[in-house]
Order: sequence, then C-alpha cells, then structure tokens
Amino acid sequence: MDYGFVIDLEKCVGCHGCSVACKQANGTPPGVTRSHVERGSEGTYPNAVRTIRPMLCMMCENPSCVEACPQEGATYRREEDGIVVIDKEKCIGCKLCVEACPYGARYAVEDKRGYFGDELNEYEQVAYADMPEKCVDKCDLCVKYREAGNDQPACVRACMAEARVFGDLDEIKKMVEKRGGDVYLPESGNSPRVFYLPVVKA
Amino acid sequence: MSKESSTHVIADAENAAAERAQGHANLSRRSFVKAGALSVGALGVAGTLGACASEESGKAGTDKTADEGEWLPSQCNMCFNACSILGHVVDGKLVEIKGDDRSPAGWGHLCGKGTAGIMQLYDENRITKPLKRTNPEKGVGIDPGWEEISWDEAYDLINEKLDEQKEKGNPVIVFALITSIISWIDSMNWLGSRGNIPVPFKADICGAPTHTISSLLTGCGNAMPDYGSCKYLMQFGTQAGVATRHGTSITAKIFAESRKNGCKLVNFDPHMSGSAEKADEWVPIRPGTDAAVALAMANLLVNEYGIYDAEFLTNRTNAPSLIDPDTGRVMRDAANGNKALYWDGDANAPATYDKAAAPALEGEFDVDGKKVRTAFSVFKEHVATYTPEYAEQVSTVPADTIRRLAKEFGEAACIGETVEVDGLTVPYRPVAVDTFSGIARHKHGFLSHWAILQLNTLVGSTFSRGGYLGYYTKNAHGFYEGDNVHSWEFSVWEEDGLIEELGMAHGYPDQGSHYKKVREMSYTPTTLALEELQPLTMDQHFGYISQVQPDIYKTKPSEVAFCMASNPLKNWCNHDYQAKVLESFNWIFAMDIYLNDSSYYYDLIIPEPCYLERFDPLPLSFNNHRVPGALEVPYIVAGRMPIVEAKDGCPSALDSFGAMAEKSGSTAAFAGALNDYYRLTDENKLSESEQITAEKVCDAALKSLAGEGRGVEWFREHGVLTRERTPEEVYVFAAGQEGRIPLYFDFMFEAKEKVEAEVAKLGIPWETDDYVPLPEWKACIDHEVEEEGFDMFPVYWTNAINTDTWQVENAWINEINEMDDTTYLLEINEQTAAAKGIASGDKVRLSNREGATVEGIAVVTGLVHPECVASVGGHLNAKSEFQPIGKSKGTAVNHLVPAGVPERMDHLCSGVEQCVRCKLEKIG
Repeated sequence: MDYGFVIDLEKCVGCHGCSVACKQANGTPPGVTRSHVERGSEGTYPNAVRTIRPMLCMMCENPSCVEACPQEGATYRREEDGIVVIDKEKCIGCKLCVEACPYGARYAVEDKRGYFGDELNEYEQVAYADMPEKCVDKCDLCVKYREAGNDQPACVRACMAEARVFGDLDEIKKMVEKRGGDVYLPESGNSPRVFYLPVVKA
Repeated sequence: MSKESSTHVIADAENAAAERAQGHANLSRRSFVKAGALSVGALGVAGTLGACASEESGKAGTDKTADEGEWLPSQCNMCFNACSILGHVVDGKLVEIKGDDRSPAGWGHLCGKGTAGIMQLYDENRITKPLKRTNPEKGVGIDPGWEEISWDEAYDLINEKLDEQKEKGNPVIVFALITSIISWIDSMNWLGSRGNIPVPFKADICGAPTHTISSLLTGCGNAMPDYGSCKYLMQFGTQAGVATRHGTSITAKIFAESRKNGCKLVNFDPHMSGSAEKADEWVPIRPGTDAAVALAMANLLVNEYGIYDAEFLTNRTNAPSLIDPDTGRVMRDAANGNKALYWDGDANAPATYDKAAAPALEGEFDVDGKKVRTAFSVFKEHVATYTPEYAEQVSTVPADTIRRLAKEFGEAACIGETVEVDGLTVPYRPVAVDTFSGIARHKHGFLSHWAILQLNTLVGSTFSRGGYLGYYTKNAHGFYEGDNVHSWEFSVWEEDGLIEELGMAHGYPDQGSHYKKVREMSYTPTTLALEELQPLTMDQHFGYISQVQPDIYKTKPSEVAFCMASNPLKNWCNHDYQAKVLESFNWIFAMDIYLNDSSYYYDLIIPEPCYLERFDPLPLSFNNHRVPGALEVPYIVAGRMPIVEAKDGCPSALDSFGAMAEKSGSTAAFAGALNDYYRLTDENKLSESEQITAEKVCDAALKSLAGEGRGVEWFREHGVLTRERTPEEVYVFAAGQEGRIPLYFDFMFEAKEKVEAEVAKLGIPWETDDYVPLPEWKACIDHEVEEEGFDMFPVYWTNAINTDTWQVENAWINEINEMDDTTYLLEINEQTAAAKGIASGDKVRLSNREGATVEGIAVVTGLVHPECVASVGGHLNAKSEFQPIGKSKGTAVNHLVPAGVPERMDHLCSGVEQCVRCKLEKIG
C-alpha cells in the first residue's frame, strides 16, 4: 500500500508534541529534527498572522534527494509503500541529499555527541544505536517504530489536537480534495505525499 | 552543489563509512523496541475501561518478562495537567514515554513536554542526595559549597529547626506551587500535624483572583467553555484549550474539532500567543484594559442591542434583587431569614426571592416610600458609562471592533433556544467568554475577571450547552458502579438563593461558602500573610511584603522557610527584592529535583525524585481539579506511581515527610491529617503507629476513591479508573439544580465594612476601594506614567512546550526553544522598532523607572502590540551553575516588576500589578 500523510493546519496548535515524540521514538541526536514545527508570520500589524507548519519528510514521488545521491542504494524510494529511506550501511555522508532537498528534511549526523556532551546519558546510550556518525538521517514515517508493533508513526500518536493522519494514499488524497488541501511548495515539482489541510477562518 | 564538484566530500565520507560499520554490530535499539512492543501487543488485556478506551485499550498492561521490558502507567508532571502516561522500561531503563489510551487525561496523546520527561529523568544535573551548605555566604553565583550528607542527618537537622520554630510559635513559610501541587499539600499536612504553622507563599503562577471569581460564578474554582459545542469563544488574556490550561491535552482535540467545524475564536491579548495564533481574530490590546472592553460590550448588549437572556437573569441570577438607593444594598426581609426581596409582578408587591411568583427583572418600584430599582436596572445604568469609544481610548481596541464583536457574540448566543442532550433539554447558548493569567496579573484583577466573565451570565451561557461550565459541578454517581460515597452537588446560600462553591481543594470538595466566610470569619490576622483581611483571597502574596518590611503591617517576620519544589527568586517579581525575601530567613530548607537560582539561598536541600520515579497520591486531585468537566470527559481516578526505580534510592516526598514525622514522634498526627485530607475510608486508614510511606498513602487514597481492591496494583494494571459524566452532572440548571448566580455582589459591602473596621483597629494602611457591588475598570498605576522614554510594557506568555525555569533545563525542550523564532528573544512591534531604530538581532535593554534592567535579543514582528515587548515565560534566564542547559537562556522580564510595594497589590485577592512602564533601548 502506498502511504500518504496529511496535517490539518486548522487543528494543529503548533505545540511541538510531534517534534519531541519523533525524537524519542527514533532516537535522534542533537540537531536532528526529523519532525519539527516551522513558525513564521505573514502580514503586518495589526493584521499579521502566524504561520505554523509541522515539517517531516515529504515522501516525494520525485525525490530530489534520491536523484542527488551519488551512492547506489544509499537512499531510495521503497516500491512497496513509497517511503523514501536511507540505507545507513551504504550512506557515505556526503550531504548532497541534504542540499538537494527543497524541504530541509535531511540531517547530517556529524559526531557521537549527545545532549550532555561527549558522555551519553542512560537513555542516549541505547537510543542512538541507529544513529552512526558521518551519516545522513531523515524521517521515514517511523518504519522501525511501526515494525515494532505501533500502528501509527510516533508523531501521529502524540498529536494532542489529532491534526495528523497517516494511511492509505488514496484515502488521504480524498480528504485533501474535500478540504481543499495541498502539498507544500508544489513548485518544487517533487510531488510530495505529505499534504496540508488549510486553516479555516470562521 | 553538483555531483562533480563534490568528489572530495565523497572521499572523506567513504572513509567515515568504513569506520562506522562496527557500530552497527552492537546492540541495536531496534531490537528492544521491537521486543517491547510485541510484549505489549501480545498482552492484549481485554479493556472495557469506560467509553474513553480506544481500540488500543488494554495493550499496555504490565509484563514482567525482563528481556521484553514492561509498560507501566503513571501520571505526567511536566506541567499541572498530569496526563496519563505509559513508560516502557527495558532492563531497568526507561526508553519511551507515551500517552495512555485508556485515559481521557490526554486520550493517549502526549505533548512535547511530557515526552521530554525522559530527558529530565536522565539529566545528570538532577540532585539525588541531601546536600548541606558549607559556605555561610549566600547569593546567586556564590558557591554554597554543597556537601553531601546522609538522609538521617538531613531529617534530624530539619526536625531540629522545625521544633525550634514550633516552640517559638513562629509560622514556617512554604514556598510552593511550581512543580508539584500534591507534594506541596502533603508538606502542609506534615508540617501542620507536627505542630508547626505552615504558611504558603505561592508563586505567581496562575492568578490570584481567577479561582475566586470562577467559584462565585460557577461554584467551581475552575471553569471553562463547553469547547465541544461552543460556536463563539472570546478569550481575554488566556490561551486555554490551545496551548495551556483546561487540561490542554484533554481539551485540545475537542476544541480543534470545534474550530474546524466553524467555532469562531476571538482572542484579546497584547501579544499573539498560542491561542491568538489559532484565533479567527486576534485583537491586540493595551495590557490591563480588558475590563473596559468587556464592560463596553455589556453596555452594548443590555442597553443598545437588547441582547440578553432575560429568562436566565430573572430565574437564575440575583438580578431581580431590589436595591436600596441609599445604601446600594439588596433589600431584605429581616423577619424571614434576611432573604433578598424581589418585586413580584403578580402581587404587585415585594416578596422574598423564593416567594415571588413573577419576579420583575427591571423597573422602579415603590417600597416603603422609597423609589427602588432592581439590580439589573442598576446594572444597566452602571455599564452605560462604558461606551465603545471610551473603551477604545483606554484599550486601543477600535470602537467599531468592540461593537461588531459584542453583536456577533450576542447573536451567536441563540438566546431562547434549547437542545436535547441525551434526553435532557438544555438551554443552547453556544458562546463563552474566558479569562486567565493575563487578566489576573494586575492590581484590579478580580474586578477585571468579573467584568469579563459576567458576559457569560448576561447571555445565560453558564451551565448551558456550548456555554460556560464548571469543572466539577456535580458528581451524582461517585467514581465507580455502586459508589454512593463520593458524590456532591451545590448547596445554596439561603439569603439570596445563590449557589455555593465546591472549592478547588485537592482533597475532598468540601462545601465552601464565600458568603458565609464574609459573614462569620474572624478578620483579625493570625499570620504575616494577612489572609484574614482578604476574605476573597486564595493566595498569600502580601507575605512577600510583610516578611521583608514588617513595620508596614506590624507583623513579625518568619525565621524558617521551606522551598517545596519552588523557585521564589524567579517566580514573583523583581529578583533583587526576592533575594531580600530569601535573605530575611535564618534558615531555609528545600526539596527539589534541581539546584535552581533560589538554591543559592538554601541551607539544606533534600531531593525529590523525578516524577517518573515516585509515588504521589491523586495528582489529578479528588474532585478532578485538573480534569475539565465537559460531558465528553469522564471523571478519572489515577495515581502517580514509579515507572523506574529512583536514582540513588531517593525517597518520594511523602517518604521523607513520613520519615521525619516518625523521628519527631508525630506519625499518629500525620496519619490523622492524611486520613482526613484524602478522606481515607475506615478500611484504608493509615496506621497511627507505622511510619508513613508514599506508597501506603497512594494505595490507601486510590482504594478509598476507586473502591476496595483498586489500589496501586490495580492501577498498575489498568492505568486509570474512569466514569462517564452524565448531562445532569454538567448542565445542572437544566437538570433542576436549585440556585442562582450573582450578578450583583451585595456581600462586597459587608466585606468592605468588616475589613475597614479591622484595619482601623490595627492602624495599618489598606485599600478597600475594590469592594464594589458591580465590576468596574480601573487603570493600572503605570497607565498614568508619562515620564519621557518609559513608553513600553513588558508582557510575558507561555507556549505549549514551556512551563517554567525547570523545564528550560530539559535538553529537548531547550533545543526546540533555540530553534524557535521567539522563545529566547524579545518580540518588538515593527512600528515601534522602526521608531527606536531597532532591528532583529539587536541587543536591547529594558529598564524600569527604579533602575532595574534586563537585556535580550530583539526580534521585530507584527505579532505584538506597539506598546509592548513580549517574552516567553517571564522568568527564564536561569543563573544557576547547576542548571547548565537552562542557564542564560531567554530573558526574565518579571525582574522589571517592582515588588514589595503595597500600592501595586490587589487587596482583594493578593494579586500584583505587573503592568510596568519601561524604557527600551538598543545597546548593541
């Protein structure tokens, strides 16, 4: 089944619950924010508005990152579900994919330092096992976390506003069509499979 | 970068890849995650734990297979909401926290703070052993020379000091209300039962008047919009249900769905905070002027638009009360229980409220030769002076906006309509007005809250579908099937027929009564907190003045203080003044997880374990103080239970209190206090001869509340006990609950008279101007300041990822704050910044007129009122060397708020004026 993902920007409260849940479930070290919330603003006072956009890997159908990767098989789009993944055994950490991604969804893990410096705390000692240094990391819609028995990515489970939906791409597309949603930066030409439902003004 | 040009990068990286191969051979996190999760799925404990239980219910029971780990339930403590969590423990290590699907306290979700708890647990900067100061010199940054001592030595030292204070009859000050409400309450019971006089000096965390006005208007110390059915919500100085408060993770999804379905959210706030970000309309407003806008809206509704719920006002408020024009008092029948008189249209004569067959809401009548009007007629005249144009002048909110919003609000109220809710016919008033900290933190905070919240009363939205609800209005069915012990409902103050309050105590919801208190209490102060001079207060903030300046109120300073998981240096006003408060004690002992800024003044500190390592009885409190009382949200019973063993065997707070009680021979008294406080049933009463432990109290409290057999072990398996609320418990007026809500506060005259008599007797300065029968808007002191250059008001707010200084020490929270475009910065309006030559990234300084300064980095935005500088938290920028992650992060603008000044205090509810004119300068 091809997966899709949609975030309802009306419901999202920008609380960062997704960001931290991702960090924990995937054991990402400092600076790696697979899932995070981008905050901006538009307009001027008193008509300025806050823009809040939770970000993750957009799971593009035409992923620039895969195209940019010089190492065969180091990053690819899985045929069975369309998820773009990294094979960390093959990744050489050249960071070309990091630069290529129009959504800033890729991160280079430069060293083995944790949040408290060189010495990892008890959690980090276990958590960073899949985070080799000099390697690129990114959101994979919690492939391993779901393989471990969780039916949803960690960010979806955590979301207290229930603003995130993960599932069958066709179903997601129906929701998006109904609410007039869209992808972020459609001009990228990457055809993301992560969609956003618009803010509704009452 | 093209592939060709990056060859050298690739070469370097290939080498690194080779070095990395070894790492993959070692234990992969994947293995334990998978194993742990399988164990969860395999358990499949069939769960029918109330309607809140989702499909995943029951997945998370316990499993003792060491290899696969186990999932253990508890309640979060990363903020006050105390959501239900599950912790995955593998080989004794916590590897994951997530929300517990079985509980409405989060519905299985978990906010960023809650998940980040794992980084608090494993923060090496946490303390786990008792520490004694060796350097007598105190002050922030001066190394106290902490020396580890044994628990026995620590307990003995504390007992010794407390015995001294007991003999002297001195109160012991308890700084409280930051990290752990339940531990604080337990500490009060411990100190009181051993013969000390504990007086809490609470942090300025919620807002002194909020709970009092809520309990007067809804009978509950916390009230909230009926988010699920509300169609129009106006928030003043609050971000409840979006970023904070109202059990955020309980309410967030309900309110998000409501907004998606067309609920209009209007948010008044000087800064575009969390709720305003999600609002359909953000209304920037000058700080401290919200009441003027609300009163203008009231004026428009009753005098111009004629939109008010006459039926509700007549039958469910005291608006028909006849007012003596000479005294302003409600006229009463002295021969008949002193009951309030209404004008009975049928008899064309006055009658007591309970006998008037056809009460007149409005009009002027002849009573005993006097021309007498109803309270509502007086109200209409009172608010008439608040024109939208006047309010605009005061608040900067355009008069047209006030008119439009008042009309929208009134029209959305659907006055006259009803709706069926599970067979109960309920008035349909899908509108609400809500308030919180932004309104509370001003001198006239009580009046302002009242002015705003009475809009709910005018349109009849209180206890109506979609309207404004109390948290725990009624419990008709206890907490479990067959429970006929734990139930409550409003009683009525007979003189006026007004509903009484159920209080907001964390133990049993004793029937409280502000009216009885005003009538019968002693007004003579017994401690330096002077609570007796403030019959409406729930706080003790005058203590900050009297402790340092005992001459003002002729009080005696205390000698010993206990900092119970608090940070008094930062959680009030000016830090230099707070340092004087701390310096004024001979000896301070504390219990905390960190050595925070205030710890530089402690003589002894004993650690409290991280919440993931400890027992706390009933963190949601007996009456579900932290569980919003909407129909969608069941009543919950839950305990906080250790998920992992406490580091270094650190005992829970109640273990320490129990051990000290045992050493001082006061176990029996402590047991008695806890038996009483937690209303422990006879079978579960704590023994008066056995040392009290946290687990014992938690177990007994759970069994007493959830029913026999449902103690710690039961909750370890089931997580929480829930019981669906019924419409009759939520929409109590529709269900026939007797009682009215006050529109006219007659009791204020009585309180004013009694307070004035007492302060005259004491010969101390005191203010009583705010004891008025109808709310007014009064300017903040600094609104009048015209000194050149002092043209800015610092304001602070909290987003969903931050709670306090102790949270900024959290590595994950800090990382988010550092990435954020405002949290550690000072937000300045674009017009103001242009006028002052300030650009984003500039270093700026804010100074008040007394010379206090703070510095920070500017960020220029359109998201803040031109007269304001906005900051997250207000009390960040930790100075403690022992909190290296939070150190120097953000700006603590509350340092600019003058402290110790009686004129800046709200004399009704012990609040403080935080509106302070400051100068803003670019310094680099």
